[in-house]
Formats: sequence, C-alpha cells, structure tokens
Amino acid sequence: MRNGHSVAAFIVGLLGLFAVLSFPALSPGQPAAPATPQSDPEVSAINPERSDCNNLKPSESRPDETTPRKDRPITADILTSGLPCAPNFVSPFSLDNLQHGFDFYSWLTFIALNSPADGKNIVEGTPPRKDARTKWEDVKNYRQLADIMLEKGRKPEAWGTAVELPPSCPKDAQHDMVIHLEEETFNQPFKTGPLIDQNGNYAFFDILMNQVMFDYIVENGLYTKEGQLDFKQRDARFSGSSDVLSPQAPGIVNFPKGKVINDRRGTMGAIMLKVSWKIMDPIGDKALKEFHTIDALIYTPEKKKDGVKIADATCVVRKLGLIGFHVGHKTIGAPQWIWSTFEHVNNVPEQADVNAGKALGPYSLFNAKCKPKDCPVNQTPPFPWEPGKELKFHDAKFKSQITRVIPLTRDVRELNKSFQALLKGTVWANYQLIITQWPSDATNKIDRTGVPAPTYLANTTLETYSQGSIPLASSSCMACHNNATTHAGSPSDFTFTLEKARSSAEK
Amino acid sequence: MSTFTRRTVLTGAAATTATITVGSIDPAIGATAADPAKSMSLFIDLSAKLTGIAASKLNPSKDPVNIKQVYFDQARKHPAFNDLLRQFDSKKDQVDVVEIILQTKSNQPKSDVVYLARSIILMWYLGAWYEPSELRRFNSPNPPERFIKYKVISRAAYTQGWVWRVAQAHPMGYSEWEFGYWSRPPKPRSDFIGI
Repeated sequence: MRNGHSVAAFIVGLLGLFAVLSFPALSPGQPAAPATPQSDPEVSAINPERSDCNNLKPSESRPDETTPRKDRPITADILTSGLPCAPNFVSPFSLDNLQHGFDFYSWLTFIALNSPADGKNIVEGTPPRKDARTKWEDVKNYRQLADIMLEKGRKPEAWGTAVELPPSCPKDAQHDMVIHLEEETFNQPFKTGPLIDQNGNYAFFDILMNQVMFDYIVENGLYTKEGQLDFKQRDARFSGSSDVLSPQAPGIVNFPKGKVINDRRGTMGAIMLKVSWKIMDPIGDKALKEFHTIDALIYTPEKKKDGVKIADATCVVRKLGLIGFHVGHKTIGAPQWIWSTFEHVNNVPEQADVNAGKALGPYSLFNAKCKPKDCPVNQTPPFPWEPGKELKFHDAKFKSQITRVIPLTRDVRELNKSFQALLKGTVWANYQLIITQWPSDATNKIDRTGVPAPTYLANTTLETYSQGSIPLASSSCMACHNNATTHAGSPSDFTFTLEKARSSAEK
Repeated sequence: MSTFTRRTVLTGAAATTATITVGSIDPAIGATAADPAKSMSLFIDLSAKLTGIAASKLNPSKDPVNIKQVYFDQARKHPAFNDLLRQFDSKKDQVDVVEIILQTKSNQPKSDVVYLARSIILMWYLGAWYEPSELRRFNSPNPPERFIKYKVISRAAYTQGWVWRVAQAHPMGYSEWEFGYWSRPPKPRSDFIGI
C-alpha cells in the first residue's frame, strides 16, 4: 500500500504539473507545399520528375459540412487527365474538405489505372461493354508480386519484360494474366478465411506494383531474404551509432514518394494495387456485361509434403470479373500512403439496408432471399479452405453471406454518382469508391500511422471478416500495414509485399 | 486492506488532483450554454483547464477520432453539466480562473459540479466514466471498502486515454508505434505531450 501511495503521489505531481502548463499545438497534417526541383530529394533515377501528373483538384471547398458542396463538374476532360502524382486540395483544409479531395483523387486514380492499356480513354473500350485490357494489367505498367518474389531468390526480369508462363500452362491459351494460386490468393489477411461467391466459387486476390516500387526493391536487393538482412545492416541503429529512426537513414525501407512540383510536373512515387476477382461463366453468366473481365490462367504450383510431391501443378483458364480494387500510393504528404478502395456495386448490400428490407439484389456475395437464421452474415467458411482443382468450395451448400458494416458516407455517394454518370455505358459505371484513408496528421511524432482518416476502412471483398470499428481488430489499412516488416525484422514502410521474398538458399 | 492496481492508483491520482483544483461553484454565476457549438467550445476550454492539456490537443484541427464529442455527450447527461459550463464561461478570461471558479481554498462541502468536474478529468485521462456520485462516496471520510465503479466509455476511448501519453506508453493490446520500438530507448515525453 505504501508503494501504491508513493506511485500515486508521483502521478499526482505529474498531473499537477500539467495543470499549470499549456502545451504547444500539434502541427496539423496540411498537404505539403511544393518544393523547388533544385532542393528536391524525392527526384531520383527510380523516381524521376515527370510532366504528365494529373493535378486536377476539386474546384471548391465548402466552409462547413452543413453547406451543400459545389464541386467542379465531373466532365469528360477528366477521362484523359492521367494519373495523379499526389492529391491536390482547395482551402479551407478542414477534415471534410480534405476527405473530399482525397476521394476526388481516388476517382482520378481509378480512371487512369483502368483506362485501356492501348492509350485510349476509359470510355473507349471495346463495345458493347466498353471494356478493355487496362493499364495496370499490362506488364509495361504494373507487375504482379508473384513475378517479383521468385523462387530461390532469383532476380526478377527487367521491367516491361513479358514473364515466362509456368510450364504447366498451355502456351497457346489466350489470356490476359496468370494468377498464381498461393495461400494469399484465396485466403484473406491474417488467414481469416476465403470468400465464396453465390455460385460457390472462390474469390481470388492478387497484388501488383508500379515500376518505381519495383525498381526500389530491385535496387536495394529486397527481393530476397538475404538481401533484406543485408539492407538492414546499413541501419546505424543496429550498430549502436544512432537511435534515431529517420526515414532517410540507410537501412530504413523508404519507398519513393509521389509529389506535385507544379502544374503537371512531379514525381509518381510507389504505387501498389490489390485486386479481387470472381470466377464468371463466359457464356451463361447474365451479369458478365456488368463487370470488367479478363481471361486468366489460374496456376497452382505442385504440392509437396515432407519433400514428396503429392499433387501435380495445374493451370486452368477462367473468366474473371473484377470485384475489388485497392490502390496504395506513397506521397510526400502521406508517407503512410494513401489508401483508395473500390468495389463492384453489386458485391454486397449495406447492413442497414438489409435491416430495413431494402437489400433486393442480386449480389455476388449475398443472397437476399436467405433469412438471417439460415445465412448468418460475415461468417468464415467451414474448413478446409484450400481450393481443389475445380476452384469450387468443397461444401456446395455454403455461400458467403456478406454485408457492408460501415456504410458509405453521403459525400462519397454523391461523388460516386457524378463519376458513374461520366462512365455511363461502360462496365466502369458499375464500380464505386468506398472511401479513401489518409493520414490526418502525417508528421505526428507518436502515432506513426499519422492519425488515419477515417479510422477504419474495409473492402468487403478484401477485408471481409475484419469489418467494423474495434481498435486494432477491425480493418484499417494504415494501422495494419504499420505492422509490416521485412524478413530481417525491420519496418517495411507500410507494405507486406517484402514478406513474400524467398531465400536464395532454398532447395 | 484494499489492493492497489495500476487503475486504482491512476484513478486515485486523478481524483486527488481534481480535489486539489476543484472546489464548490456558485450556481448563481454564469452565462448560458444552450448553443451546442458554444457548449462544445466551453467544454474543451474547461477540459483544458481541468486536465492541464492544451485545448489544441484535446480538439485537434483535423480530428477523425473525434473523442471529444463522445466525452461531451457523456458529460452532458449529468444534471450539473450546464451549471458547470455556465460558471466556467463567466470567469474563463481570468488568469486564475480555475482557482476562482473552483474555489480551491474553500472548505465548503463539495457540490455536484465539483464531482462532475472530477469525472471529466478522469474521463480524459482514463477514457472511462466514473459517476460523480461514486466519486463523492469514494471521497468521503469512510470510503466504501470496494472497487470504485466505472465504465470504459467506448472502444475508441479505451485507446485515447491521456494517461498513456503522460506515461510515454500505450494501452494494452493497442499501439500505433512501429515494429521493434521496444528495442530502442523510449521517445522523449515532449513527443507525447508537447513539453
């Protein structure tokens, strides 16, 4: 008890001290002011200055949230404006206006990335669906993680090189992408389970990155476990000569940042994508016209147990429809990255609509005719989770019954309407922004996540089972990715991609 | 003999601080706090005085967590809330407003307003709500031999207690720090609370 009193007395003293002192304000997370090119440490060989940044911004901010927003018209010039190097904003920089600016940026990003790889604009895809192979599906622009983190730590092929097909895949099969079926392809983050659509098929997930991110990984040898350990040795903190965690210090993983210099000049920075797909019937699926689709080769490597092969590698052709689209973009004002997430509009209903009897469907991941007692929502499937050859879930009766826990904001709904109207007549009008997460106080000294806004963000196809608002347990891109590390146990700058590196010593 | 836990120590500490700084308030003093925006503004200013934490930290310019609203909604349920705000409002421009309004040197029996103010201090520091009536019982000459009742106000409140920042720590099960922070010296207190 005496000890307790002495501790209490100390804290009383401490609190008493606070009572008579006032503290300086934390610096708010304002968008960074453009730097001059001469003093710009962000410009480098792997993050070069470019002159095609899309620096459009919302035309007007509102003074407060009760005032109707008078946004810039969402007009056709947006379709050709390109990929933003970083978001742009209009004052006053309130939480509400910044959120709107980030959401506007997300839609610009979505349009730029999903425009046809052949250089046309997004509404000029192949009729009647106006769909086309997108920019991010072209190896000249983005590369899949499975083609970067190679077996035995092999160095990835040079950027833009067509990746060799796995041996078991038919050489003459028409395809847009090869999906490597590994655990992360069907199992959600933290192994929370697969997602099974209303046809009993698995949803698949894939990760890609842009050249800036790829070059940083290759230049620093981060594509192998040994390379990551070697990289960490450069960190002065581990040699005892410094205890400062400086992003610029050697040995600290610090991907290049996007930034606006002026007008259309800037740097792009690292961008990574995570996408989700559903299997579609190329002939009988009536919903086919509503989705962006690709022809994919689903490659399953051979399986071994105790060093003995137990299953051959397989490779099958499937039509895949895009159901989820994450973009993570590191920028000068958001070193925690900006996290934009989109979904197909017919994925799931909002829980509030289900409660109100307004969820009529049809949905890819929800059966509106099934009663709650028969189809409890947001439940993980029964084991086993690994797909078989046919890519159908083993229990034919089980279908994921998924609802959106956190509803879209009114502002996002309005923005979606405007952009969807612009994309009318294309498959892209069937996609919606869910929200953009960004750091509201990027330089906060004790919150490395930069006080994310909004606090929680979940894509129902990619973080299905961690939706909600429970600290740490519920999905928050920045809070979760803050825990990402290399194989050497160093923070990996908000990306889990480096965990996929393999060892050059593996057999 | 009661058992001391981290929470009981901190509770006692904060409550004691409140007792030191909060005295009875003259209910006749005051300006109205009927305007919600003004009430919130007063609540923040009052909270800053009571806790010693700058208003700009309790109410950041961009505040996606918005814990102040949760705390405001909790405190305003108490019947003495408007009295507390009114009395603070009437004296808030004076340098020694806390001493004047809260009558720190008074030996008068403590009013409901005093215990409400103590609950507000505890709320900001611990993210928990201690009913003012409970605090009154706890502060009596013969306090009950039991653990003082409280409730964690919300999921977010659990992570937002200022006591963690004062202690240069984080609540159990929740941290925004980077992987491996434990292998390096703690960051200076000024990073947490600005001084």
